[in-house]
Amino acid sequence: MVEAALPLETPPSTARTAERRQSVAMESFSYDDDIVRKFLMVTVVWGLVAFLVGLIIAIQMVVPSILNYTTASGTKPFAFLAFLTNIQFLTFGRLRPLHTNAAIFAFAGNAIFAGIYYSTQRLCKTRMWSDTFSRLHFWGWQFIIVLAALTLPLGITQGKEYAELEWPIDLLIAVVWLGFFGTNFFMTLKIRRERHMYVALWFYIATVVTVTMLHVVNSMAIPFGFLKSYSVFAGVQDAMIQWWYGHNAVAFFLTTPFLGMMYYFMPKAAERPVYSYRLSIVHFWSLVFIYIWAGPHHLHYTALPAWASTLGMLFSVMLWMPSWGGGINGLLTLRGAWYKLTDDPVLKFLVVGITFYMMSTFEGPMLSVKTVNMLSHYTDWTIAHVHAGTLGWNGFMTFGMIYWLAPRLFQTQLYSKKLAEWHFWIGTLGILLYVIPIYVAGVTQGLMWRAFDQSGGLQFPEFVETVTKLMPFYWIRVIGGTLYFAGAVLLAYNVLRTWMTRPATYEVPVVSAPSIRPENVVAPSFKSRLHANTEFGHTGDVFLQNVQSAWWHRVLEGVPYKFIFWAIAAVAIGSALELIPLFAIRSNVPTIASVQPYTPLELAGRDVYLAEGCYNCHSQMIRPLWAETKRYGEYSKPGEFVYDHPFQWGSRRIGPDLAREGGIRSNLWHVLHLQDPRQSSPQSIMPAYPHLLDQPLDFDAVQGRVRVHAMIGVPYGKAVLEGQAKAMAEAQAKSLAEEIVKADGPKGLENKKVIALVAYLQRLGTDIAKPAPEAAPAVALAPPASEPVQTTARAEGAQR
Amino acid sequence: MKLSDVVSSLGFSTYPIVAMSLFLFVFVGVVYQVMRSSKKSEFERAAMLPLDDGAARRDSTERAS
Ligand code: HEC
Repeated sequence: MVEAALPLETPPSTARTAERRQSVAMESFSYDDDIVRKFLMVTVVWGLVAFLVGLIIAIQMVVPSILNYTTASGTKPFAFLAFLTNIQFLTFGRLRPLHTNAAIFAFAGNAIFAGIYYSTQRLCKTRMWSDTFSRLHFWGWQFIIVLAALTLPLGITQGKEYAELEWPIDLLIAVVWLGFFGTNFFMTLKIRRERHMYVALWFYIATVVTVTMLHVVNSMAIPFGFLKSYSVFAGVQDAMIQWWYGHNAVAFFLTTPFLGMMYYFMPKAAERPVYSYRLSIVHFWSLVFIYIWAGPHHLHYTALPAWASTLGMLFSVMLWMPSWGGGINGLLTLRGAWYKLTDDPVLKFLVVGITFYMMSTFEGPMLSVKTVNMLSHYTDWTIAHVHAGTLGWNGFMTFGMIYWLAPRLFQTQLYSKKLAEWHFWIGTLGILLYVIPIYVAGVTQGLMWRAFDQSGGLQFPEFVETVTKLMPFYWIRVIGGTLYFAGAVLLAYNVLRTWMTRPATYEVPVVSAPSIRPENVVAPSFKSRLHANTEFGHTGDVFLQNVQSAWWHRVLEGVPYKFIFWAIAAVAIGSALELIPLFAIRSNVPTIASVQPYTPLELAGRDVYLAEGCYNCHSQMIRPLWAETKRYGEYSKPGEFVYDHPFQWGSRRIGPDLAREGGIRSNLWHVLHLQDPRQSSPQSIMPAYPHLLDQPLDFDAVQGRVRVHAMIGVPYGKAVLEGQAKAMAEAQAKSLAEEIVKADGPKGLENKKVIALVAYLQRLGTDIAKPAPEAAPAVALAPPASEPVQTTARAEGAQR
Repeated sequence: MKLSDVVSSLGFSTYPIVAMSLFLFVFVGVVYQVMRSSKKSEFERAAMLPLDDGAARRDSTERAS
């Protein structure tokens, strides 16, 4: 297969096509393969970048454990690696968003576009509607990626996972995605010369429509200057929207487009039609109808209303059926041709990719079962799960597609089939060495967090103990990641060498197909069949006959309006019904009278927290579980987050939860810990933030930040008056800095970023224990009736 | 009285359950439609589409500039 120089000649599918061809005028055209070549090339390049950054952050997890390794002669051979933990632009909190964005939007994104542009033209028997739009789409998307690669390491972020990019980039994404790509795609469907839209196109439609919706809703924010904005949603609502987005981004960015590609490229590579076309349709509708509902399970045992997460769980479990049906459908396409697997790397990649799809879609619903989630949430289990999905399913489907496309697009032979085979085996081994140890790490961590000793206390009260335990697994992950990256290097080399043997000019085959333009459909003229009736009756009968003959249906068929409508309806209604109750029901987010807005200085500190990406390692959400309240203090209430724009619950605990961090440590402790965590906690893998002690805090911006928050409903009172917020911030900074000096700490911190951050950390989770201000109504907490342990944060804090 | 007070009095919390049943119902309908045997030949033709990308009907070739 791979060696075939040109697209193989395939006999016309059915006699009917041939018949039709004679009766209707033929139109000649050519496919735009140049745009596919472009997308294919950048997929390879961005793939390398994404994997490399991933490898770097994997190394950052293990480097701290060897930094202080001392040889017998007293030298520290690994000390030079410290730059990986203390250069601000390279810290984990900033690089991790770069890794996820590069992997999802740059690597997978460009792969999707390559696959869609190649297959859509052929399935529609037409060139893309506009070459200009194709190019605008291509260059626009690459520009967005470059902007992301520049802003994220600089700490310019909205602080919401997988939606970090700031608002000007968000706007650009909307324009490029819907304006250029969406328009071009839908217009191509409209001018297609094949009446039936093959199922792959359905998956693409769902992708374009849903991603637009998700992106727009989740990115709603009020800008503050050019580089900062605040989510209009707060706390629980923001969390709901964010994970509705996050979950469906997985569904409609990493699943549906790749399924469309599976339904196109699998038959291509296997040279036979999909096993069951029926099943593929059922597969499609079940995803559209059910997937959108399953978001809230990402937040089990957090402060979400119980019904919301139960619902999410129910739907997740229902996803089992169709996903497996779809996966089996893809695999069985190889029926009677399994022998091809042995010498075709393309099929190997596709088959293993589909297998990982089935594994991940089996595991996903399992993770949404409450009792499993109780253990897995916040642990590495989630990381293993997503990497089985992205490395296995998205990565391998993409590689398979690239090896199939490269010789055809570059109109030559693949440079080396052997290298492709090597890539396959190295890549597979890489995935296994990544996911297996990380699964083990996840379970280990989950079990250690909740283990208790005979006296009823935590068995591992020091959080860092649960971190050092994971080091061996993290080392194996580094090996696995290196292998996967090496495989991608082989791919890049193979594609490069293939490209080098391309012809001087590409051949552009002219193909022809009969037109099915709506113009060709002539409306029949009906006469009324009624005698002696009113004019109205005649009109009515003509109308009825029109309806019955359904000729107009053929006109409409040109445009998949109906289809688009149903897809949108299903997704939008599902989402609305899932989200509306949250906004509507007051009891869902009980207000707590003693919870007050952050002071201006704390607010500025919160922005430092966001910019540094601390949420990539720290959660701020204590679940109502015995082990959690024991370790971190009283569990979090929805009402505590009403001023959090955006929410910072996090999804992973590489470090301890910080929801009740306030007041546990002294200000000086925080300053020194931020300066170098390994001073206070030698085995810590937290990055060092010495720059926070040097960089000045922008007090002038504080006023603006407060105003924007007031605009989205935070009751700041007179702090919004000109100069007020700044004065308040300066006063608080001064008193904190004095306190630090008194404790023999560093001098001159009153105008540094670290002061704001410490102020914020000291505030976290403290309001709930304060008395309600003045004559406020009684505190309305979420019902803690079945709460087993009511510890206070203060007493337990020292236990970490 | 705020908007949220009004909306909350509508008892939205049962809606998701209703909607879920609705979705299930529609989905079952779709599956029934698809499974009807009368569509067999249509589906067989559709399944062949990826394998026929028009290359067979290549009349002539021209060189790109
Ligand atoms: C690479 C992941 C990582 C990042 C990023 C990170 N931390 Fe940590 N953090 C840890 C780990 C691990 C610990 C536990 C060991 C220790 O105390 O240093 C920790 C501990 C802490 C503690 C001590 C909690 C306690 O009371 O024991 C605080 C406070 C903290 N981090 C704040 C921050 C802030 C603020 C940021 C962002 C500027 C941040 N962390 C970024 C991993 C991280």
